[in-house]
Amino acid sequence: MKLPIRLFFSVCLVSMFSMVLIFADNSISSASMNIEAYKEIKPPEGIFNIQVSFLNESGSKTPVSGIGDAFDMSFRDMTSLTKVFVVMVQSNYGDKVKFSFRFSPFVNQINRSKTLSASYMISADKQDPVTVSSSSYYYYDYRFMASFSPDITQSTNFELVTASSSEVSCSVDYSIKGERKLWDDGSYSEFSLSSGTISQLGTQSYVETNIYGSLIVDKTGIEPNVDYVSTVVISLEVL
Amino acid sequence: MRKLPVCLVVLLVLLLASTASLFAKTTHETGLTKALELMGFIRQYHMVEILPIEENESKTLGYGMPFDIMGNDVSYQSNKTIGRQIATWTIASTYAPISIEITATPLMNLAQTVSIDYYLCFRYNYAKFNDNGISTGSNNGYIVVSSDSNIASTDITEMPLKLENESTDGSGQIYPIISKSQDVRFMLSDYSDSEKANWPGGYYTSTVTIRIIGS
Repeated sequence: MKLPIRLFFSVCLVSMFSMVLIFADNSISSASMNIEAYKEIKPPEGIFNIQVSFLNESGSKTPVSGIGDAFDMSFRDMTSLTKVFVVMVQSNYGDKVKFSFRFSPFVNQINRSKTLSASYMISADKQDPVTVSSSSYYYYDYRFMASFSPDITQSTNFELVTASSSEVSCSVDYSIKGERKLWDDGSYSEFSLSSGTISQLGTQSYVETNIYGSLIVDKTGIEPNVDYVSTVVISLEVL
Repeated sequence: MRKLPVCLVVLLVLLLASTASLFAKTTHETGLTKALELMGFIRQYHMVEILPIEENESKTLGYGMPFDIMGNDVSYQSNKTIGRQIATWTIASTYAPISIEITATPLMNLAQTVSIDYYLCFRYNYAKFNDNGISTGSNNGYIVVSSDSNIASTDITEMPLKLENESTDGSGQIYPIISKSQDVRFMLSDYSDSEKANWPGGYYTSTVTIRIIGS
């Protein structure tokens, strides 16, 4: 199921509970909480769809419908980096978007002061460009591709963070890079996009990109017959 | 006759055990199982927790997070004890009187180019004990906090706020102070419509911290 951007922001992406709770042994105690809010973004022209899914062991997907969705990963070994969720982006919108990810350690549901360290990695497949033959700009052909900063399609740039006792975060900028085919020598050169550019070229083509979240858990000290829960919060902002 | 001292000791142990009354409990949902955490005041202890409320699917106005900062339910009102309920909080302490300090950072967008101030209202409600350990009624009130540390208003609660029992000579303070699952409400500071229109769309976040200091 594809979520239009308005609905996407109206549920503020995927948020599955976040809380920090600290018990003190002496006469001082403290607790803190994140306040989360949003301002809806005017939907851009053209296509901008987001779908977040959990990745099952078989490779199939379980779509995340909103805040609070849980996913049982107890059958996973998770002793090596394993893809556990995917953010599918369909876009022909030219502006830059920032994806932000927040991850928590796995929290013991009986004694919340006990956690398992978890490392999360954000990566993306290298994308083939989408080629568009212009009907309105008859001189040129165009091709479009997703571009990341840092370039998480390169293994050397994968965003790897470790949540040991508290939340960690990382972010990646996403944009659609466009190139125009020169009519004289057939080579491509970069050009600037404006909102809805691909649609303006008289096509419904869009670029589809998958951003993957992988996970490895340090099971040292894990207690049997106790559930451990981690929280993933994904949000985006049009820059 | 030799059994009498033994019986007295047993009775004494039972009597002591009966004073270890439970004053707080928390349930933890653990998938298919449930765990019950019990806390008694057999030793000195105190705690504070704040639990966010997730916005329900029907998107009822005035309840939960995340919320739309342009919504009427979070717009400024002169009465700062109302607003959108975003969390519940609990305090439980055997260190009465206790001092409470609450701080909040402004809402920031991800690019950290915009800072939005707001008010939080923490309701509290606990039973007060006198020197004889008898409840003399409840103590209700509100703690109003602003994320703008420079704001000067009589509506803002002066920190730290002291909560105590009903006591004439201090001995009543040995009894616990428990305010459980009370409202935490959110309201924006007084911004004009034009100021709000200039805020960029997207995700905003901030942090509120509660600190409890026992006597």
